[in-house]
Amino acid sequence: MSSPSHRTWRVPPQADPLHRIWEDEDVFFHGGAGDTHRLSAPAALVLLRLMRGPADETALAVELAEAAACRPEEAGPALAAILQELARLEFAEPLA
Amino acid sequence: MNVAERCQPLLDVLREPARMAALDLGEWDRLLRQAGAAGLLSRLAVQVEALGLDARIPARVRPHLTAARSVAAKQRQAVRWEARRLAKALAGLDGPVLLLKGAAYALADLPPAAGRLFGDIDLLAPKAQLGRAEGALMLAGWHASGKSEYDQRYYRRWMHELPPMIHLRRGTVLDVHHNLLPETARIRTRAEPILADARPLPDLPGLFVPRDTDLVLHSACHLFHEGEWGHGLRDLVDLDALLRAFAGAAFWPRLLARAADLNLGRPLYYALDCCRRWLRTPVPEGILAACPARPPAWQRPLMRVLFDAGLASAHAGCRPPGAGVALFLLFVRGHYLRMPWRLLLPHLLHQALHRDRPQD
Amino acid sequence: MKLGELSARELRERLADNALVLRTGPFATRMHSSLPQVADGLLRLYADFPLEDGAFCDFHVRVGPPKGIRRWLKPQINFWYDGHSPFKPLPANHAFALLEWGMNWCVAGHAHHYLMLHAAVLERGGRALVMPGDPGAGKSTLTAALMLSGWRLLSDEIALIDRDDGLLVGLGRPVSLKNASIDVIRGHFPDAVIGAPAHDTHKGTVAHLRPTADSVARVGEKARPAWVVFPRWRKGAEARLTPHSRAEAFLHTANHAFNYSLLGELGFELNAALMDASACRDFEYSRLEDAVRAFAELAAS
Repeated sequence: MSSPSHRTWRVPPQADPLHRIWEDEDVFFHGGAGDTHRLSAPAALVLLRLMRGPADETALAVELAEAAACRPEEAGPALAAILQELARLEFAEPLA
Repeated sequence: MNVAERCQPLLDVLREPARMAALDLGEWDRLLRQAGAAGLLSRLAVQVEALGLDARIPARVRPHLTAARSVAAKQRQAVRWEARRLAKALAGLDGPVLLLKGAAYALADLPPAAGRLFGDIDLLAPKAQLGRAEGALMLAGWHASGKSEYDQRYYRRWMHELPPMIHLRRGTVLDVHHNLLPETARIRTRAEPILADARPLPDLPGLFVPRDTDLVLHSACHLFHEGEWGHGLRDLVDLDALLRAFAGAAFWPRLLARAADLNLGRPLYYALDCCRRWLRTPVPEGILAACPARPPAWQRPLMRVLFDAGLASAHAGCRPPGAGVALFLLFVRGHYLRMPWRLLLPHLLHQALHRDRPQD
Repeated sequence: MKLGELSARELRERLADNALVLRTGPFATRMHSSLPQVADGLLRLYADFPLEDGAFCDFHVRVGPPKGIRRWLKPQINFWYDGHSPFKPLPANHAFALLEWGMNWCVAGHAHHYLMLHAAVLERGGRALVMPGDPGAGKSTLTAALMLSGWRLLSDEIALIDRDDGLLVGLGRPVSLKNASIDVIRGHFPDAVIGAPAHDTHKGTVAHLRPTADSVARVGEKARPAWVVFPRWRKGAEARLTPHSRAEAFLHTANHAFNYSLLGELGFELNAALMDASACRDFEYSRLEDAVRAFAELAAS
């Protein structure tokens, strides 16, 4: 089993997300649950990345850090919170 | 005018959906109302699409079918999602949890699922697991719905299910059963064989559906032991779709043997008889005659009159004269089958006295 | 034939015989009622609406007294949709308001071939103004004032969005005015035709305003969305349009829609297309004439 910090995440197959952005505000639709959510810009960045394909936490932290102009280590705690929130909404799940 | 004539054109198009291509506007006006009241409009709308008849439907009618298909699609999405939640909530349970009726048809992709509308989600779990199931569901957000203390006690003491559980956020309602019939029912049946032979659902670990014979027997048992017939015709359409899908030389003898084993020959007889007469379901003659626990010959015409009134009851235009009396008799029969008089009379008295009280 | 071409007696007879079929935008409704209040209300407010022969009706409705002993003690009325009554009985003098609510219920509960948002819709110069608004925000008053100032009314409660082209579809039915707004509209527009008020309903006093002839005549013309405006009446406020977040407007309309959730992905796409096509604004006002002027400027821009 890989250590938690290197888990790979994906969008669950049943989620079928849709996305719109208006003036930097992101709205997502969860096709499986039929729910609509507004997500913060960093959460949207992570979800949009996962919608392109599975990614591990290291790669996600790098992308998040680039967008925020900080170091990947600094993005770590924020990423953990984002993934937890995306998992709660079932937009993301760790690959087994 | 007999019942079949009163239920036209609904009955005609249930027997032969392709006939929808030939209806005029006046017939569509009747059909939309009959089918809407019976909860069958979405099913017909899905059949129009599946048969490629859209271009032959009058322009005034098409929007109603489009709308009805949207309703069915939403319900199917919702029940699939709810089943995922259930699988997660019940993951720790020993022994199978079965989806019944609408949810089972939808998740196992069985023919009655096409355009079917759902009410509550019905589950069947081993009786020994009921307490743990209730606890797990409560942790996941389902709570006993606004029933009075009397209702709670009534359910737990006498019924074959927990009081309905409602999800705090999503509002979905679960009926968790441990048997097909109440503890007190005049017919006794056993849930163990149904649990033992259930088929797993590939994408939903821990969730199962009853095997083919048991889907038919449960649907029959539910329809012909209920006192409320608002969904009667919809349930008969389920049975028809199941029987047409499963029919085959090997199926019928298995069905009869299982009915005998589960002591459900009587409701099966009524189901097959009504399916054949109402929907022209191809039930071989010998099968009906070989049905275990058939009612005595003198009872059959009487029961037909009652059931026909029940099946025709959803829309006012279909109801035969005297339907009110027949529906009342069916209501009493439903209760009579559920429990002995010494329990039934106090229960009905309690319900009558408390009917107007708000439930909180 | 238009409803107004019937005499009061003919209208009452047709209604009592279940033989009145009224077309309101895309829907034909067969109406059954022997109550004079219902006939009077229809004649006053629906005179310009076309009648149909009724070979096919979208909705079959009836307004009349409920059965049972209670009706001898306290006169009540109820609404039936094809033999089924979705509401509780109301006092008998609410009959016409109940018919209006019942007709809204028919549309909101069945017309899922549209996305149905809870919003007023008006049109000017081919461009549609969609006004969602919380109860008490002054949406109906503003809708009535704009309609009486040259805007075409599509709907005062239910915005219908066509799933095939994303355009707004009109109903053209009367505007429901509540409480103080009834007198406000009477004061500003003395020629406005307003039906008999129903007092002490769950919404307070309710009276319906007859739609303009132009709104009824052109009800079949769909309109392209241009503005989504959230109105708010505030005492002493200067009329002012300010930007409103589109994402917030999306979520607000979705949360208050009749069938956004039912339509799933399609609901998301249609509502998103509405926001894509529209400028979203908040609108605060206190004086109706300022409001009418502000919207005239918006339409001219």
